[in-house]
Amino acid sequence: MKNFIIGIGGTGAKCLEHLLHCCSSGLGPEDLWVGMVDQDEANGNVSRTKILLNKYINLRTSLRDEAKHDLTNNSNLFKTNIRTNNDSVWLPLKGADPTLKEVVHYDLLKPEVKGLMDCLYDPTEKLQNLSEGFRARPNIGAAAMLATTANENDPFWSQIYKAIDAARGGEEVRVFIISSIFGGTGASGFPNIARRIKTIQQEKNVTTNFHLGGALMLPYFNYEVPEENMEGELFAKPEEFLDQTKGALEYYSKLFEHNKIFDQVYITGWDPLSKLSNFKMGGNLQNNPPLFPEIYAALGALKFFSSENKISENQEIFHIGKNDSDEILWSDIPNVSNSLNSKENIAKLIRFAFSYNWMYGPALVGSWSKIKKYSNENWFKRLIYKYTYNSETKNCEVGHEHNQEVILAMKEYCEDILIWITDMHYSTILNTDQKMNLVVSEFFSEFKAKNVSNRVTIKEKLNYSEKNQFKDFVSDGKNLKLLNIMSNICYKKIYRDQKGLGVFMDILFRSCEQ
Amino acid sequence: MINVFRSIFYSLIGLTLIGWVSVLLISVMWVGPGPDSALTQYFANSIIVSERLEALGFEFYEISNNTFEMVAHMLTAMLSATILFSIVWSAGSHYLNIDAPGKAKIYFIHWIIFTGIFVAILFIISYFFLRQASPYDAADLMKTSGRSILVLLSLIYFFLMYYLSVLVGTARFARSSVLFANKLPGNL
Repeated sequence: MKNFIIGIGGTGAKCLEHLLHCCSSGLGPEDLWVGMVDQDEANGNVSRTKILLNKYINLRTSLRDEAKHDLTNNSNLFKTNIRTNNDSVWLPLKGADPTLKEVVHYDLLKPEVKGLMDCLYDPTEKLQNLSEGFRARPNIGAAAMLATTANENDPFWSQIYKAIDAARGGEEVRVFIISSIFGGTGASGFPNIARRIKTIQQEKNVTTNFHLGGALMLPYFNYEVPEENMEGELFAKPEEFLDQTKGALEYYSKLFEHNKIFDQVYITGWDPLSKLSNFKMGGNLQNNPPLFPEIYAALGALKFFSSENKISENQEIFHIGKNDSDEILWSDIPNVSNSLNSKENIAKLIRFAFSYNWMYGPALVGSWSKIKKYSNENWFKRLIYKYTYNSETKNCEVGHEHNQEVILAMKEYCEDILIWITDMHYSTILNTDQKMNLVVSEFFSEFKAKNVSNRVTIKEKLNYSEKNQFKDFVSDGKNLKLLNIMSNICYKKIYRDQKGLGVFMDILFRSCEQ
Repeated sequence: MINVFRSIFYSLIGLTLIGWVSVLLISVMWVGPGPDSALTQYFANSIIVSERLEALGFEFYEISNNTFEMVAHMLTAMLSATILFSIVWSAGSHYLNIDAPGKAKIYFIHWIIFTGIFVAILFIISYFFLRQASPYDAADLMKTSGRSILVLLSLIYFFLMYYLSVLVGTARFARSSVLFANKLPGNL
């Protein structure tokens, strides 16, 4: 089965961040192509996901190499083979600082069409620089998207064409689109890209094996807009989100009534809205925190891709939101399928990140002269020494550059996981009456809501009492201690064909559950 | 929990490696070795003061039952202590707070103390049975050198048995806390 996911706009990119972490934990399908759509190429949310996507792909490639380090197919760690284009982000409008006027060739239009344009768009909108997105103006985004062509030679669209061709060849293909229903890029891109995909499908006369799914995020956050220097600027106004959503829902209601575009649609809402501390119109400073509702969209996508998900002939719409209480718990996270327990896998990944980042990773970083002090310990002997030993040189090569690269890349990835969960934990409930009871992170992290580029900093080293708090770190009632992990890594069975550092990484990952 | 049972199983294998000798010896002593057996000769010549026995008007065969009964009781007590200490360490090593790389060797001191207590208990047991005011009459008729040999041999033997047992029975992650245990293959 071939799977494709497209995150549109900032929200789409943020949902993909959650999806990537879920895929690291083994919740994803075997194979997945990931793409993003955003006119605001430098957008902080998009950049963050783009970087994470590259880290995932690089680390997975390193750890699933049959010749060096191999986790093997038995391992759930980085299970999903994620692919993307050289540039994972598709910019609908090419060129420097495009405006709507340029995009539609306003000056070349017939007078009556010009008149129509003048009715639909005011002068500011027509001249708005679109290099930082559509600024919560789906009417601009829709026109701009429609003005672009779905060219088969375009690297982004060529993937969609290939997908549809594969479906025609008899392979099962699933495409999923995630975006917000409010805002600019997502709101305009979601229906337009979906309809365009459907048009290509119809043009290619593909009637079976191809399924389209989507996740729509209803408003789930807002922010305060500073009063100064905002006059004449176009930007997303939170007070308009609900009206925009109402209009969009009416539109979708009619669209879905007359046209079966999607096979399954997942809709997520949230109340009360999370309050973001920072407002940025766009660009690299628009680096919004990961928020809990986004995980629903990510899990919706993974449910859609699940082989257990039998897609019916009728269009299905699923909706989800938080429970009635003000507390967010592990039990609020739905499972991907009967065989994929989201809570257990995510909790395992978070524990893995902690134990690797602060306990085992530091022991493996550096030259052999620094590492060799652990060479007599069972976990090292069993999982590292034996699998990084070069029989020709008669040396353990864990300290060599090629192994250190993997060790450090994993450490960096684990830091990202810890920052992701911590940021989500702090930011979702900030300035609201909500409580979140997924992890306890105060003892290893510092949160500065106003610091856009570095909201969460995690400690480089933990002292004894901080390490001791590991058992309470994940609030899932499992009471797993670092001692249990040490015990598990010494006894867990090594899968046949596992190689190099893949052995240690997989065993540590599997050891992070009871 | 399964790893604890695995440790206990390995610990019992370690005990059995040389422990079967003590079980055999105890059984023989309970039954009573023949008057011409090597064991009887050894006790008559090397352990018991023959002059004192003669002065009291006894032959060795008359007090041999009491002697073997005393030694059998002592060996049984020592064997029980060895089994108990081996299993307690092997199972207990799973609960040592070794939660980070490099921490296991800190627990070497704990093993030394535990082992020291074990040796002291072995010594107390042998003292209880072999001292002159012991409940066994045969103890009064033992040579000093014979008493020392019995104490020394039993201490060495039961310590070796305990060491083999904890060597293979200690939790894998705690092996650095036991002398030379970290030299064992990783998957044993």
